[in-house]
Amino acid sequence: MENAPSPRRPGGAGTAPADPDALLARVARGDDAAFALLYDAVSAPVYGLVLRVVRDPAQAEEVAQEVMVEVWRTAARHDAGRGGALTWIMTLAHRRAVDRVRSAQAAADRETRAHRPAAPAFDEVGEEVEGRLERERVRRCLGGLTELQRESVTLAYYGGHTYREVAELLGAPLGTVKTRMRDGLVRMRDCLGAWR
Amino acid sequence: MTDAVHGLAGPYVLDALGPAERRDFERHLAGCAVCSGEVAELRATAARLGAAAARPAPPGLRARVLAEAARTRQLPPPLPAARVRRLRRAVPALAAAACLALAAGLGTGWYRAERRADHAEAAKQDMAHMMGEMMSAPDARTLAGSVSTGGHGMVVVSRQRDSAVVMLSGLAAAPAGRTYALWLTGDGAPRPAGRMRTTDAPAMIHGIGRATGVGLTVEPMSGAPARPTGDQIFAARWTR
Repeated sequence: MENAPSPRRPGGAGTAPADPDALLARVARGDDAAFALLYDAVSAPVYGLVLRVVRDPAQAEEVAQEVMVEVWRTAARHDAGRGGALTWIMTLAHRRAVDRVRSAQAAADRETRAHRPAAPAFDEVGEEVEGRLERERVRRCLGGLTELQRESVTLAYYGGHTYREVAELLGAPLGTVKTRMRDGLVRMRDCLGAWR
Repeated sequence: MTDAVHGLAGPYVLDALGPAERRDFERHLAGCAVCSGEVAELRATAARLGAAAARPAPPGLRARVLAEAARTRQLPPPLPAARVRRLRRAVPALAAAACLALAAGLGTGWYRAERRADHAEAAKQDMAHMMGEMMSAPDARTLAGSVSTGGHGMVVVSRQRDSAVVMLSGLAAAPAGRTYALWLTGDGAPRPAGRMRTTDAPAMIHGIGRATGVGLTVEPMSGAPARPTGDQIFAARWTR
């Protein structure tokens, strides 16, 4: 009903908080200085997520570059009425990362992937200070999910698995996994509250 | 609550569909304002999972991105397609109609939006306020699902406001001599929560009490049964 909350990252100490929504609106009008600022505001979430899914730093860097250039190229197509700038950018980033792991090379070892261990624990995420509070909050909220909800969500989102692969990995029925993914996200949403 | 396609919202937002299913779901999404609303919400949540994985990007990346952007032509803004505009307006229009429903509220029971100008004019401010109250309730939750006979439903519920708004789309008018009936479910027997011939206006349910769900059936126009006699064609459930 309400617009998706527009995610904002806290600015570093002493700097004005960069507002991705305002910056993206300027980027849509061809403002390259705004694009540089937008890069500074979102490159860490973009790179971190892509690395998490793709795992290989060299490939993650390539994908992150594609994502950021895509943001520049298609900024005018972003519909602010449908969600915030960071949500849009993270959606692009995730889609690209997942496409990369499912590309030809990934298809070749699909069998292996389907049997590789579950996605790494949340603790493996890097130690940088910025965004730590948000990360703590996400970790805590993930801890509030049922095991099946949590594994369904994280294997798909961080592990880049399809729900069919997730069902296979967890030995759970397809329908159950689909439902747990949605329920898990809904519960996360309720737990996380507004992102301001 | 879900059918084959609609139930894919979770996997879709997590990019966990195969290419064919993704295409099917996106086709479905284009014609379903309720689903797009749900997807937008879940996406914002998924994005936070993503941002929680943040890591500083390698130092050389910035210069490469900026250089490539400088060589890359931007796409112009999209041409406004009539259909897209309609879809985008659907939700605010529903919310506005729900405001009308709220303003007509007399304490308990449910109220259909009345399109009478005097109502609309006099109570506009109050309505916006009341609807805002509902939507901004810290515990407001949006639930969406398919209607088994066709169409979709969305329910916004707030225990703190003790209220729920039910919005239905894509349903035909009830057959002659029959009417749609809403029920509050989950706390003992189902309780009647309103009746309507057509579903083009949102229904406001005030006084949800300890109920944990809303159901929709088709009932005979006369008689107003105290319990549902028809099959439940839409249901939304929440946890207390």
